[in-house]
Amino acid sequence: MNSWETQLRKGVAELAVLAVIAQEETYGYRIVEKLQNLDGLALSESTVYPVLTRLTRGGLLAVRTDASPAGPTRRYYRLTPLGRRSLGELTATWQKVFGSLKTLLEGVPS
Amino acid sequence: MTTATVAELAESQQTLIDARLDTIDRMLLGHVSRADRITIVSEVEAQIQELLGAKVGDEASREDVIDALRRLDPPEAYLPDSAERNSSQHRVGRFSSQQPMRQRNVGRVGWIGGVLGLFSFGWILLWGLIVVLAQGATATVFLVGLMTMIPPLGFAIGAAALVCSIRGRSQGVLPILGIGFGAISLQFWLLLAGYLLIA
Repeated sequence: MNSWETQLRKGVAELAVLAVIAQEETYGYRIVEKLQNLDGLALSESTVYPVLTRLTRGGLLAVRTDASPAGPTRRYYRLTPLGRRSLGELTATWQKVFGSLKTLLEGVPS
Repeated sequence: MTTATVAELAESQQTLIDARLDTIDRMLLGHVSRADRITIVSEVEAQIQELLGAKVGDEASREDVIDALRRLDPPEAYLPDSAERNSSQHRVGRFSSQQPMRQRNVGRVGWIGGVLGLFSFGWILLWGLIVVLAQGATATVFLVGLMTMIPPLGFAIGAAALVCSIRGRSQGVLPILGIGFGAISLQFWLLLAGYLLIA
């Protein structure tokens, strides 16, 4: 994976993490599994976990802990109202950027 | 549905896991807050347990642990790269907290403290040389003048070295050297001042 691609994926990591959590309250490893399995994202734990802590510290996520079947405590993340607003804004920004790029690329001769 | 238990781990397997977690912790040190560091490491530990828990049976072998660790990102992946540091000021998610710029300033201050510490120690050696030269020199007034100027300057440099190095002590070896040499310098000039006052 080249550097530009890596940076692009890391750049959308926050949006991707918020989008996963918006679907349902979930725990760290489950978020990593979902994002790793998406070819276009392929975000791994070294990207996801720091993003989770950053978003939690910023008040976009709320956390509760619970025991897991595997034994260790799981941290379950859910969006706060601020997180939902932020997701909305990030999504709007992404759609604007994506739309503009799409327009540009359509004009590029193949 | 039976509930799986935490994979039983022999001490050597746990040591492998702890070594990986400690390395990740060191990679994060100085780049994220202590609370975030603890959370990230505990998430990785939970992921390892999830990977081991997926194995058949309750006992995880050494190969299971090595296989689980191999599936993780290398510890170096947790080092924030320069692009991430730059993007922390122009983050898309502006509601999220930014990495404090003072992290970089603290590193610079620590570096300055280390250099001042080395310089303050050299200042002591310089003073000693001038004392020796002053014993039989002709330009006595000049040398005596230097001898009286150097101690206060040396004390000031040593104090600055100590303060800057303590401020940036988490940023590498140089600040630690600065603390050491700064402390030596301060003690030397204070002892000298005490000796001159008594004598």
